[in-house]
Order: sequence, then C-alpha cells, then structure tokens
Amino acid sequence: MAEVVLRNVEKRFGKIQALRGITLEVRDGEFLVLLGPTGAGKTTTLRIVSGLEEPDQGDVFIDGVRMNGIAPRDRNCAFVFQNYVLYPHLTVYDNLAFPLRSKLWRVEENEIRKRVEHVARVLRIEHLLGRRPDKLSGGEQQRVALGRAMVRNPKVFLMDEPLSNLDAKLREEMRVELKSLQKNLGATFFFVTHDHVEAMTLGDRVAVLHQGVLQQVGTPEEVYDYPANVFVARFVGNPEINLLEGFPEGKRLFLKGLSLLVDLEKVWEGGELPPRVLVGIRPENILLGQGETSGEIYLVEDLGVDTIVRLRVGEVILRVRVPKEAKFAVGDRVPYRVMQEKLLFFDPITEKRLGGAL
Amino acid sequence: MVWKVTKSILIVLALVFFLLPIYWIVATSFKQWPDIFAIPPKFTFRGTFVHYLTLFNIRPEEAAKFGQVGKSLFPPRFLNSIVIAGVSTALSVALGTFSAYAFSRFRVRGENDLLFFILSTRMLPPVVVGIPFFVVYRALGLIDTHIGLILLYMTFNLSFSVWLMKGFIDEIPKEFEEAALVDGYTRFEAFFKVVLPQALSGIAATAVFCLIAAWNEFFFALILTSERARTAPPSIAAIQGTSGINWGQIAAGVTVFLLPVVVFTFLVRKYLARGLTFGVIKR
Amino acid sequence: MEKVRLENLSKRFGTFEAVRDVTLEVFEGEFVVFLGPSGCGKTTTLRMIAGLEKPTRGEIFIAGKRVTPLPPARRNIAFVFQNYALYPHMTAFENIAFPLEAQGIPREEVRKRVQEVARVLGLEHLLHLRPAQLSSGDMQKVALGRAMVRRPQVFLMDEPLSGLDAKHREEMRAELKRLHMEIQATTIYVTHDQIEAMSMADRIVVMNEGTVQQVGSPREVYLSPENLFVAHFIGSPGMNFIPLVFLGKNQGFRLENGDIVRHEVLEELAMRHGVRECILGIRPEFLSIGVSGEIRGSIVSVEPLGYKNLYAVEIAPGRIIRVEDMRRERFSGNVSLGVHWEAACLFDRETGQRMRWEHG
Repeated sequence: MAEVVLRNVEKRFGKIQALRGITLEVRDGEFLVLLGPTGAGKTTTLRIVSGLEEPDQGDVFIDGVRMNGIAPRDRNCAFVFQNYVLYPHLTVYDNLAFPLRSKLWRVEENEIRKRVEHVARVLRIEHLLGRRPDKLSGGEQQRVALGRAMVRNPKVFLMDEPLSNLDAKLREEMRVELKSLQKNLGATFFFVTHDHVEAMTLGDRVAVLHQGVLQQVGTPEEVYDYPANVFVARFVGNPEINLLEGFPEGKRLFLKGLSLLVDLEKVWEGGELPPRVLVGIRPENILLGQGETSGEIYLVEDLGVDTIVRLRVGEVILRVRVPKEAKFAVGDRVPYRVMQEKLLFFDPITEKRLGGAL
Repeated sequence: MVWKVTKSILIVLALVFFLLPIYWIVATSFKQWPDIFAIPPKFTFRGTFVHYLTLFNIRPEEAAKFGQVGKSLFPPRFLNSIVIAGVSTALSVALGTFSAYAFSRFRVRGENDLLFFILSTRMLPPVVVGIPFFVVYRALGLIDTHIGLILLYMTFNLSFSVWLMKGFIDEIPKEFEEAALVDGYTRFEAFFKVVLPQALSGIAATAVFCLIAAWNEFFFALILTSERARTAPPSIAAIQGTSGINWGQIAAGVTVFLLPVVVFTFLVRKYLARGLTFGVIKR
Repeated sequence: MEKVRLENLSKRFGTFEAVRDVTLEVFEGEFVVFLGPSGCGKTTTLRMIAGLEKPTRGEIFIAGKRVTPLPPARRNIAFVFQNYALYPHMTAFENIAFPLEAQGIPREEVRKRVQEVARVLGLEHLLHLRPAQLSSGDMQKVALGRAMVRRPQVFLMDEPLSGLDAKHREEMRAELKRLHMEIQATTIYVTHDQIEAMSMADRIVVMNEGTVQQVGSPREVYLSPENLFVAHFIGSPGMNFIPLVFLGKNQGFRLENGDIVRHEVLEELAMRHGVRECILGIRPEFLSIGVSGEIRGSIVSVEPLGYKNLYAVEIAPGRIIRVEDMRRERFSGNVSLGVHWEAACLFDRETGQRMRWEHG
C-alpha cells in the first residue's frame, strides 16, 4: 500500500485547460473521493496517476517515487473503469486471472488459481467463474471488475465512477460493501464520482474539483458545514443550499428577500464584512412552525424519510427540510425561523467563504 | 395465416429469381453437348461429368471432340487465383487492421486528410489506370508475375480494409486496452490479447469482401498477365475450341470457380453475420 | 371522475410476458406514477395506453370511450418522451406549434395558444431558439409545451427527467409538480426513480416483473408496503429486513443471533396468520442507536450526509442493516438498536407478503 501525491499538475487538451495546478495527497490506506461535475477534470486526474495520460507540468509520486514518464504497467496501480471493461471473449476466471498472466509478474498457474479463488470468495462470485461477462448482471460485472483490480494487490486502487452504471438500489448496497472492502484491505482508494451523496458517504476525505481547479479538500463534514466557496456549497447537499443577498449595516446584517435583520455580534466573529455578502442557509437550518415572520407553502415534497418544503417569502422561495412528522399543505401560511448561528457568508465577487474555521 | 402463406410464396419467388442463373450454370456444366443448346431448355437430362474431366485434363481424349487444342489450362490458373487472391487478402486485412488501429487509437497528424486520401484510391475506375499500370509494371518487370498481381490487389483492397476495420475498432472501447496497460501489459500485447479477439468478426467480414474482390477481378488480370501468373477469370472466358465457344467447359469452370468463395463465406458466416450488423445493433 | 381505465391489460413479446393483467383506474386531474425497476413493464403499459403498442389482451378506456383498437392520433393523448424528441430544424415556437398545425388550426389561434403555454412554462424568451441552443431542462420544457398545447385528455410521460443532471432534475421535479397543481391535467408518469415517484405522485403504481405490486399514495407505499419488493424498492436506502422466528404468543420472536424480542401486538399478528418464519421490516429512521435497545449489533461504517448520518450495523454475521441518526457525533463499536414498533411491518418470509390485520 502506498500514498499518492500530485504536485502542481497541469494538463491541457488542445485549447482546453483540463487541470490547473492540482496539488493533492492521497494518504496511505485512505479512501479519498474526488468529486466534481462532468468535465471538471476528475477522470483526467485519475488517468494521470495511472499513467494513461502524462501531465504537461508537475509531478506524480506513488509511494515516494516520481512516476512521470513511467509506463502504466510499471506503476502497480489498479484501474476500475466506469463501464467495467470486462473482456467479452474471456470467462470470469480468465478475466480475473488476466492481470496475473502478464509477463511482468511471472505468476505460476497454481498460484493464479489460488489468488483468483480467494478474491472470488471475498467478493462472493465463486459460482460465476465459468461464465462469460455478458451473462452477468450489472452488480456481478461490477464485482468481477473489482476482483480484477484486487487480484494483484496493487499499491493504489483508482476507481472511475465504478457505481454509476448500477441502479439506485444496488448502488446503495455496493456503497457499504465497497467501504468495508477498503477498510478490510487497508488499501489506498482514489475514487472519482459526480454524485455528492456517494462522495460524502464513501470518502474519508472529499476533494472537490471544478473546471480543473481543486476547490476544497476535507472530511465530508468539513465540506458540508464549511464549504470553501459558493460552488462547493451548492454542489454538496441536497436539496441545494439557499443563497440570499445580505447587506451589513454596522452590527447588523440585512437579509434581502427575507427582510430579516441578523445580529452580527452573535453570528459573526471574523473582521469587517464587505458591503454586500452572499448568505448561505442549509435547508435544515430553517425551522417551520416557530418564529415571528411567516411565509406561504409553495410546494411540499414528501420523500418518505425527508420532507422538502418550498416556502415562499415575498419574491424568494426557500428550500426547507422539515421533520418527517410535520404536515403542511400548499397555500398555508407558516411562521419560520432561520438558525442564525448556522449562516454561511460568502464574498459576492470571489465567491469564497468569509471567516470562520478552516 | 394469409400473410404467412403470402410471405412463403414471396420468399420462394425471390429465391427462384436469384438462384436461377446459378442453377443454369451448374446444370449446364453437367449437360450433354446437344442438351446445352436445346430450346426449350431441358430441366431433365442425362448428366455427364465430361466437362469437368476435360477441364482438369483427366480424360484429355474427350476434349478433342469439342475442338479443344492441347491441354486445358484451367488447373494451373485456378491455383494462381487461389494463391493470388489468398495472399493479397491476407496482406490487405493484416495491414488494414494495423493501420485502422493506429487511426482509431492514436492522434495521427492529418488523420482526416490521410483517411480521405486512402479512400480516394478507390474512386478511380480501374480502366483509367490500366495503361499506366501496364507501363510501370513492364518497366519494373512485374508483368505476368504473382507478386505483381498480389501487390495490385492488396493496394486496391487496402483502402476498403482500412475504412472497414476502423469502423470495427472504433466500436471497441479504448478502455479495454487501457485496462490491460494498467494491468501490466504492453501496447502490443494488449492489441493481440484484447483488441484482436474482439475484432475477429470485423476481420472476417473484411476478409470476405477483399477475397471476393480479388477473386473476381478480371481487367488487370487480363492486361497484366499472360501465362505464368494468369488467374482463372480471364482464362475461363477464353475457353474456346476450334468449333466455337465450349459452353460446357466454361460452365464447369465457373462452377469450380464459385466453390472456394462459397466455402470460405460459409466457414466465417458466424463472424460475418455479427460483423455486417456491427454498429447497427446497440450492444 | 374516472379518466383512464385499464382492464386486464396484458402484453406478450414472443414468450416474454412483459405486462400481466394490469387493472387500474386513473381519475380526472390525478397524477399517477408507474414505478419499478427496468424491465418491469411500466413503459410497455404506458405505450399501450398511448397506442404505440398493441395489447395482447385487455381493454383501455379513455374518458369513457373504448380506445383499444384506435391509433395513437385518435386517442387525444400527449406523450412526452425520455429524449424529448424535439425536431432539431425547428425553433422552440415551431416545435410547440407543430401539433396544432397538424390539426389545421388558424395561425392567429396557434400563436395565442403557444404563447399561453410558453408563459406557464416560463419559456417566452426562448421561443426563437432551436433545440440545440437550449439547455436540457429547457428542451424538456419545450417537449412539455408541445404536449400541453393540444389540451389532451391525458398526459403520458416516459421518464421525462432522466436525461437531466441531478441538480436540474430536482428543480424540474418541483416545477413539474407545481405545474400539475396549477393546470390539474390527468397525468400518467413512468419512472424508475422512487424519489421522483414519492415527491410527485398522487398515487404510485409499483410494478415488478410485469405485475402490479401495490397501488397507493406515497405515504401508503412508504409506510405500509404490501410485500418485500415494495418495501425494498421504496426508500433510499430501502427498508431493513430482519429475519425472525416466531416462537409463540408470550414467547416472542427469535433473532438470528439467538436473542429474543418481545412485542405483543406483532406476536398477536403472527399468531393469527400462523406464520413461524417472519421478516421484520423497519425503515432506517425508525431505528435508534443507543445502549438499551432490543437489537444488538456493531457498527460497520458511517455514511455522513451532512445533516444526518447513515450507519451500517451488522446484527448477525453477514446481516447488515442501515440506521439513520440525526446527531452530529459519529458512533462506533457495539450498539443496541431501539425499534419504533409502531412503524414496523411484519412479513411472511415464505410468500414475501405483509401480514395484515383484516386477514387471518
């Protein structure tokens, strides 16, 4: 097992700058998730670590060794692709054995058999060894792909959205399996996804990437509670964070839209605020049924476990997460209260979060 | 029910329409001399192998009856056809697959221009380049050589083979090789272990097309060869006796000539069906 | 008032029975969602209602009229496709106007109706653009507009949001629901996404392997699933299943780890049904992490969602259940789970059906 370090990595494809100055460390035995929307450069980053792409600038280290210019096969990484890429002309057994049959390792067939069978047992695919990939369900294919990565005991597992082709139910189950697999192997996982729920739930740490620039690296809680900027705040969390304009006036802050005055002395410890700020309020930090001001229920979405209410206050529609017992009907007027100590402040120009820890 | 019957009838009609010429040739090759010219045509007749026997010089004494002078030249020319068509097909498919792989996987400078140039070699009608080729071949001493025709057929089929194979290889996700690269294989090994097995159906389809084109080629075989390297098509057409065209032997020659292509296509039919529908059906 | 009625609708493709005996009524103004995994027959059912597929057996009535033999054009329905199916060479305006022009409606009238639809959908400023110039969300709105402009009897929608990315999907979901509240059009909507179904439907029709598993309001299918399939499919993650052996009244149930749990009401229920091998169904939010609960287990992993944590707890070798917790701190190690019994369901392990009071 090993750590991966990227230092100032730049990559350009023609006119498109895919990655800008990426510096990132995946620690030994860590599950690091690289999160970002389509086109953010996540897959490129992973391919640079694997050696399938070379960076234009910057260095890649695996286990302390500089990897620039070293062929993929000599890096001892395993790559799990989004579409699994199981070889259709080989059985599951031969697919699993494939990496071991490279001349590079010179593994004997006896040893190969032992290792393939061990991996198959761990992943509970022993009964599938004789089949061809096209006879497998999506979940089974996914397991075989994982097995092909595990069989070699690589230094690092690189995973490119490996769960995104599974249906929702299976994805939830594979999430738990993958996480406990990683813990049991004690392996270093570098995992790419565009799904923030997947990122939060799987990652020891989450790195958020947007337009080739690393936005924030932190634990799931850090990323959720203290997003580095507006992009991270909006991308992580479901439903999306509420963003309003705020105008500091001395010791108070006027929240436009809600016509609410916030006592800055209680909620703000940083220095002076700019004359205009963006204020972020997570949907669970608005409480319905209490408070002095009120709004009109615009829409109620009962998702079973959660209920999402859209509350209209003047021109603004707030997304509010309410307890599952709560009952609201469209058109009701309901008092609400904003949990002011949970407010997040962003600079409207740089979009960076202002003040506070981290 | 009505539709089923109509459908069956339509199928039978189509079969008759398409197979009649073939039946005609095959039947003629087994007919006695007078039956060949009978009007109305005879559908029942006493068969004979005489045309085949004379074609392969097994009973040369019979040949004289039809006015044939000397030995039949069909056997060596048939062999020429097999060698020339076979080798040129193997070469154009092999070269085509490699170039197609390069075009499909690497960033080739001027890729589109090159591909168009390759395709453009196919646009010229053979007749136009017949004379130049003759002059060049004479200067190079390639007239009436096997290697001369093999090179020519290979060149003509290459454009076709590159384009067809590029389509097939484009359909194979590049992640397949990348997985192998990460798993400890070289690019070359990855090509043979991963890409080639999956491209087999495409290769079969391409080979059939190349083989048929080379097998049937008449014009260049006629002008660039005379004796040693002459292939079957011009030689069948030239089967003539002193008493006119020897239709029986021509029919026998054509029937024999048909067989290899039928057999080859039959052998690769499993890949062919998949190859021809490749890209049409979403996998 | 009833708007659409399906009677014993079945469809067979070769030897494959795609849809089996679907009988259902959809009422005027109702938003009904067909929900199920891929291949469950939901889209085939929708296509039969539209007339794009001919039923092998059964009848379809729209607005009281039998339409089974009629072609799609004569059923007065609108169909919104997954991939929008907009005409790329026409502007948004022309796309929306297209169905009206097919009917030969005068141009002034067409203009008025397109503009009205565009206003409802918030598309007025985009009418001059072609599909390629629109975002995927706006393309789907244009497709909706094309459906609305004809004022059909019924809207049929086949996974209309699945082409959008997560954020847009959330927004469109809300907009679509709000739109339905305003125009009150009878809608039959097909999706595999249970969140879409839960948030938008008046009633959900859960399908699996060609048959209807349950019809009910989102609350009903969520809290009282008829069988294990519905219980597992609805919810994210689905309901936890805990195998129990019923030992007898006043003796309780035995868990896989040998512990006994007692609950008088459920014992009575199992007694009435005479079932020994049961499955306790309980949703993650109705379990609580503590030290003095009924079910012992150890925490395998924590999945933080920001506003709550989802725990994977192993309660017997290989038996992992999910538990939700709203507290910020992360727990680990051995725990004892409390069960909110009022939200528990008891299933017959053999049939997979929920045991109900009215039977047995």
